Amino acid sequence: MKAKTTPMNDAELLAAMRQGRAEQAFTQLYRQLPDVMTLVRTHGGSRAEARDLFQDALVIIHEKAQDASFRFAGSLAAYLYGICRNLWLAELRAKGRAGKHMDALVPQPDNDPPTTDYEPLTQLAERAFAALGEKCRELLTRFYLHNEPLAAIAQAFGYAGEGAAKTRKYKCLEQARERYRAMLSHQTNHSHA
Amino acid sequence: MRDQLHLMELVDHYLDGAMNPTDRSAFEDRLRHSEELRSLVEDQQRLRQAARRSPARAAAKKAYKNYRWGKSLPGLGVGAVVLIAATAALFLWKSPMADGGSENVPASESEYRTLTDTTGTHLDPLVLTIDPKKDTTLVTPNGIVLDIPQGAFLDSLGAAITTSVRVTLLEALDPLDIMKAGLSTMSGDTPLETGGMFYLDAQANGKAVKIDPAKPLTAMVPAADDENRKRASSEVPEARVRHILFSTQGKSEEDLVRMKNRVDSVLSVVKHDRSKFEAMVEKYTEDPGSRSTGGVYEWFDKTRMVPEFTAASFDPPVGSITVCKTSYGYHIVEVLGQRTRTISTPALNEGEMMLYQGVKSPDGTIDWQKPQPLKKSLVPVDITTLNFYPPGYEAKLAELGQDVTNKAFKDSLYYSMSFLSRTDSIRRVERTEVPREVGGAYVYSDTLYERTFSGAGKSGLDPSKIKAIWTARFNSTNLATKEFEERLAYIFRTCDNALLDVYVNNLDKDLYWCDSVATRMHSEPMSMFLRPEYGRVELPAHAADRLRTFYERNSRAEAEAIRKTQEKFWKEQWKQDVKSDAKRADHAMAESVREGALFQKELAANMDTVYKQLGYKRVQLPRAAWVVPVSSPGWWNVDKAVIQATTTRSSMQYTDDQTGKTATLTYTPLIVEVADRTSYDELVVYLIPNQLNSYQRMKEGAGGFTERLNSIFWYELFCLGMKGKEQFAFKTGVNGQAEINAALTPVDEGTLRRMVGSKNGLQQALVDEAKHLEWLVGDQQRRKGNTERQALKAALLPTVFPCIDQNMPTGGAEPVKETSVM
Repeated sequence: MKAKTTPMNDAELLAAMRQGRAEQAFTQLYRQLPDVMTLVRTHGGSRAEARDLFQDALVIIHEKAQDASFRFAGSLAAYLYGICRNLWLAELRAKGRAGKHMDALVPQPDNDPPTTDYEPLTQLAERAFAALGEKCRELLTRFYLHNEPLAAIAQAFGYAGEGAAKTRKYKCLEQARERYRAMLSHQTNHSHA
Repeated sequence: MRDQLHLMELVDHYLDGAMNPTDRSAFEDRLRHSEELRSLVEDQQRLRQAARRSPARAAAKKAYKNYRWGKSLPGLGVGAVVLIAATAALFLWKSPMADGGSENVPASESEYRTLTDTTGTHLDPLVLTIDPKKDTTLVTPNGIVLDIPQGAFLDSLGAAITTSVRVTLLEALDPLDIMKAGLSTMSGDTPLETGGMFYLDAQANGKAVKIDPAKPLTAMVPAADDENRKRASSEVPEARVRHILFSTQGKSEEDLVRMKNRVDSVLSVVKHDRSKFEAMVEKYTEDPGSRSTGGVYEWFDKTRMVPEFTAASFDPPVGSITVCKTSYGYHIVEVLGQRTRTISTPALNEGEMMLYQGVKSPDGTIDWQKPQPLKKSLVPVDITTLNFYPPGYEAKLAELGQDVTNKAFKDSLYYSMSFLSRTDSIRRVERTEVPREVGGAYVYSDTLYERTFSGAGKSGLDPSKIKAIWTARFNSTNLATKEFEERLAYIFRTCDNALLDVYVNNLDKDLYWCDSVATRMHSEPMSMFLRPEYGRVELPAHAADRLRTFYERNSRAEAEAIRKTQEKFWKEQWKQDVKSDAKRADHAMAESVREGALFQKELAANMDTVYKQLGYKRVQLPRAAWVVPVSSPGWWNVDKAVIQATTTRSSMQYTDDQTGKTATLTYTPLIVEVADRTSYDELVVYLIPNQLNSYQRMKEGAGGFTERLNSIFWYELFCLGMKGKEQFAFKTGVNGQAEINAALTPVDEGTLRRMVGSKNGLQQALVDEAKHLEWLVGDQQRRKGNTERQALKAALLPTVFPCIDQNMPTGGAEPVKETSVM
């Protein structure tokens, strides 16, 4: 027996993401960052923007990977690159400065990562979520990601019962929504200004 | 505020796909009309997504740091067949949590040594050195994949170890290796069905290291397949003996000598004559445990008795009688039987694979403790081999005497009851088209429908939904698993169709996910399934969506089709009932007309006879004249007597006052006994008076068929019987016998015609009679079948729809009130 030093293949990467070892998978996928960096920087973006973009793409892939029926053409690295390209295109469009970069970024039909129209709004939701208190965040993650039953959540948080946990959960969700709405209206006003 | 919370909960249900189609379409309707609701759904969907994403976001940030620090990652090789993944501490590995304080070094050192002692296992250890600052993945030759996260090892002070760590691995995955290694498979007193064992030891600088509880190692162990499980059964030799105990306890030396002599003499007695064994037991044995059983110990294995006794029971052949000495005393043992029994070792937790931590006892055996569940992918089986009937359905059918081996029958009966679960339309149909009463005799138990109706859609799972999923199309999905079958039995008990929808609509999710949603809906009983190890059957892309659509469309379509078929069937049955009632009435009418005519003919013949005997010339009276007063009282008297005799079919004697002549009519009784009378579905016996060109039916009574025969006629007797579609007949002439025994023989129509003979018009009439009889039997069977079908469904109703309102009236044909229509 020997310790394997070869990188994970695509299936293994996806498996790692499904099995809660996302960090491990992501660390390997970060090897693609330089390519994305080049892409963004040659199409009117900064290093920081490329990093954010890459992170978004990883999160999207992670989300897709949770679905067992997730399939993609080509390699995962290429798929990741495709998502980054589409994300960057969307961002350029949103900023109204796609212009000369557009042609080069037109999605290629043989490798068509998900449409990313809603991404800016989801990212906003993510920010609203991140702004919640830690308890709220944990509660909602437990509920929506790990599907823990309310009874278990109530126990973990020391709530009186399922009912209390449920109320708490919806209050947190409501709070997140208020933040999200506020951010949304702020952004809309801002872009109109 | 509460309303808002409730609304958000509803949105969650909607987004989880946990709504039943009715609720969902209602909700979607609302969605179309309310901008506010639409925005709530949209926001909530995004926020749920955000919640799900947040751990990935955190992982991405950490990964970026790893990447920036230039940490390269050793790859992860995954064995080809990995069915079980375990996140767990390790076999033979001292639990890091249980270690307690690091001060207690000597104690934990020695404990550590007993845990990690591998001497005598005969397995080749695999030793390698890893860098604990990196993630490492090991794959063993037998396919165990061990994932060691970076920083998993701690020194005795709880600090992450940075120097290299030496890892020793032993593995014993198949039973042979396990035996070779002398590893036991006992947890306490319970044998385990093992999927294999492995051993791990890690040391840094020659010292034991601990595992950081926050960073458990992950082991993926190839799952034992069914064949391995079968091999887990063991063959156990057993013996059955009887014995006589001469206790040596508390006896002196002298006593012992005497006792030995007695043992020898008793031994020679029972050897000489085995039938005396029981008597000897009664007289001598000092074993209270077997005195009452004649010294017999029923089947026992080699572990139950003291070694000497075991040897005396297992070593000599069956039938031998030997003496053995144990700590109890001398035993005279006769071996009554020896056998090998195959014991399948019980698995803990209903066959679930668990990971155990091994603890070595001082005597060198290993006790497996602290079971932890292993996550398993679901293994799909052929869906048609699973049982999706409501619990107790087949048992109930068997109880009702139905053929439970016929799946087509079971299916069609069960699915046909779908009709009863969708009662809104049935009620309408039943009210307008199926009459409550037909001919006063047959009422289809439409109360069935009303009863179900009262359950207001919550009576039980709709059979058409089961029909939609119990097809090969759902093979290789979560539904085609033993696990789902198990859940379904409980879903039936909740009577909640939406609960079934959760499982069917989320084939792309882990069963655990569905279980959690299900638990939210029906914490009782669904929470019992809630264990994180339940995975899913991996589906090809988009298959889940397609199947979901198929299910929704089909369960609706199936239900509609079943409804239509049932409706059509019962409508047709009702039509046939109306027709058959009319036909019966017609036949009854024709019979009475014929008998009336026959009576007139017989009366006329009697009159002729009487008048001839009295020497009068018979005046043909018009029928109307009978009520006209007649001139002569004698005539009147004659007529009355003859009419009465003919009507009551009894003999008469009349003497004319004027002439002194006497006239007699003689009726003699006849009894016809038909062999095996009760074996016929229908049986009629006709008497054919030879002069009259007509026939009459004999009355059936307890003793047979009876009639009184008029002596002025010759009669022929004609019996016609039906068994199903088969016709039987018998014909004979009556020559004054008082009793005839008729044995019917099978006939076809040609034979029947020949038997009847070629009397004018009579032949066709009798053949028609036979045809009517045939039809009658068929119709009766049809009606009986319908009644039975209804009764069967009624009997099954509480099983198929466990939640129907049991207080509704069960029988009777009370007319439906034209009140609330759904």
